Amino acid sequence: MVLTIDCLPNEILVKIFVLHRPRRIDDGRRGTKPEWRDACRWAPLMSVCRHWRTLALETPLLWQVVDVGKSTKWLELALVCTRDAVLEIYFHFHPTSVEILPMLIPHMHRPATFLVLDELQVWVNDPEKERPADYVPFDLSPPRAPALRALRLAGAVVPWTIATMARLRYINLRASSPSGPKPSFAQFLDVLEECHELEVLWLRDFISGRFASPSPHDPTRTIRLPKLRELLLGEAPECIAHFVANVYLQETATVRLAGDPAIVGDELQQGFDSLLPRDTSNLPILRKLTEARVGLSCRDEQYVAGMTSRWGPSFPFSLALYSDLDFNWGPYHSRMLTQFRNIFKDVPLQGLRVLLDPGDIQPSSVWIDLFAAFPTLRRLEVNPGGDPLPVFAALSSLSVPRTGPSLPLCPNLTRLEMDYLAFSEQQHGLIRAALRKRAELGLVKLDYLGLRYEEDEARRKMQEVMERDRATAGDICDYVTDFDCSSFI
Amino acid sequence: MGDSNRLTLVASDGGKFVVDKEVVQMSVLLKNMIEDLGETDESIPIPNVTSPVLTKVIEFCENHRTDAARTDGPNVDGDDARMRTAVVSDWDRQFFDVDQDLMFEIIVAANYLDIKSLVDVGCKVVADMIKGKSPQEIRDLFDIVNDFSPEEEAALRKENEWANDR
Repeated sequence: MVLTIDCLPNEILVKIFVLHRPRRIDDGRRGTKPEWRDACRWAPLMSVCRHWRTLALETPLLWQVVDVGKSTKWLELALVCTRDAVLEIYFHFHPTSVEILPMLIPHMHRPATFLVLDELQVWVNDPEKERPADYVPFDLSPPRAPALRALRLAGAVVPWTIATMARLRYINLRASSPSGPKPSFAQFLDVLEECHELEVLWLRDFISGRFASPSPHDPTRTIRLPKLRELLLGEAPECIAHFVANVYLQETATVRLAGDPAIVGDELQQGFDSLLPRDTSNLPILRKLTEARVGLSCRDEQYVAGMTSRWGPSFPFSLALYSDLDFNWGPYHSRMLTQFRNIFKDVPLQGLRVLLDPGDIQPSSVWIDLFAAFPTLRRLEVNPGGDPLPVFAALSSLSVPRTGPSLPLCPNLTRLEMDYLAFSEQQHGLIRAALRKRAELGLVKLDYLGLRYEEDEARRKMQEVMERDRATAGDICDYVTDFDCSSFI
Repeated sequence: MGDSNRLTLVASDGGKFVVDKEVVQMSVLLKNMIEDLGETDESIPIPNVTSPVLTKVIEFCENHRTDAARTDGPNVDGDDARMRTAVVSDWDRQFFDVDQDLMFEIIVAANYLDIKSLVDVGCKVVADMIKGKSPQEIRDLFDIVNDFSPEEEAALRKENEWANDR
């Protein structure tokens, strides 16, 4: 009888097949990546005959190295054929491809050591899953991912352990859950305390609801993150307040605290004040703030102090409340300005921008309280548009302190800008009177005053009134070095 | 009373082979049998292996007798790692420079006798024969019948595109 290759026992054929597998990266070439030709060079064996194909499909060892290409079909096949075996996956394209991720997430416990992985970014957006509890947690422990330094996860299960997190420099966790039973807030802090290398920390919807309530917290505990230079917290106010109370933030750090009204709930009445603890001694950055922005950045964000880079230069500290698109922030403007004043009172602000809904100029009493809190102001920009008179009325008033003497407001102000203004007949006279009063109080002359009207017709009328008044009572230019009266249209 | 260091193997066709026990013990199967039998003059039948094949197997074992200790040692890294690191020497290639049917018979016999190094070398030789060849070239080489339907072949081509689509 003539023996052919078909007569070989299956286990021998499998051994021959397996010899066509690519070399594993831990075969002595650590950190190197097999060529794709190697990864799939055994693939033609499946096309020889049905018997060989069946054997290949039933041999997990063959499929353990996957080089993910343009098509995800091969990966799909490999995930099935490898059953529950360890995987080595290589990507030519971005690993967070929308197509690949949903496929990989349930298998994330299987990849072998991430020898060269220094950053992992996984973003899961599955509306079917409110909590990613069904996902298997990533095993990112040092033996498995020794080079890992940056972790960016959304909608995933996170091994919130000292072993995994302590060596990280960059942590960005959004809508992710710690693995295992719901840990306490103290356990959250226990891990954070060991993150001595941490430079950037972004936590959004990670602490809130996923760790046990932080109350009562330990007010005597202070965690220091010596290298932290950027913090973003988008959590329930009580979590933010407890975090700030327990974590000492260097004055050189950039801090952004954002509250989600969906989480804020009834506490929206307390607004931004609720984002900070009463004792802000762990926030020396507050005492260093020199520039601030207060206002409505866009319809779904309400900022107090600070801004993101897309709006211009970054501020070192920002507070924000987020809302649904149809949420009306108008009724909260006055409260927002009051709370901004309460939070940042005595901060040596030199520049302040206030952005409100168009035409929603607040009464002068609100401006008086706001300006009284920041006597160091040198530059002021107020942009609700409309009638600017309440602001000028406030600038010519005295503070109304509960105790002590009344003082002129913004004594060092040298630059004032207001945009999208509307014209009124008495405007020029009242502005001139306000500036004259500041001069009579002995305050410095404005270097620059910019009044920009929404329409050119309004600008023309203002300049006509100025010409008319100049001959009789003088004009604004008597109190301003550089006066810019212009329009947007 | 015969030489206690040698024993007689009887092939399926009745051929007798007197070999050193040390050589025979490269086979896990025979090693266990010898241990079970103890000191004996009885010959050991190898019912699944013919004389020409047994001749080749003994030739391989005699040539690799110094490797025996390594082969019998603890299997630290598993079959996969051992096979990958197994070296196919010029002598081994010469050894397997035989007709295909004999080559496969040797591999089957080695598998039956549980001679790991011979199985490893045999598999490597076959793998090298296959390496770089298309499915049709593999079929031609080993006289394998293509039992896929045209539709299945079209699906397989697609599958190969997935594998190589970078």
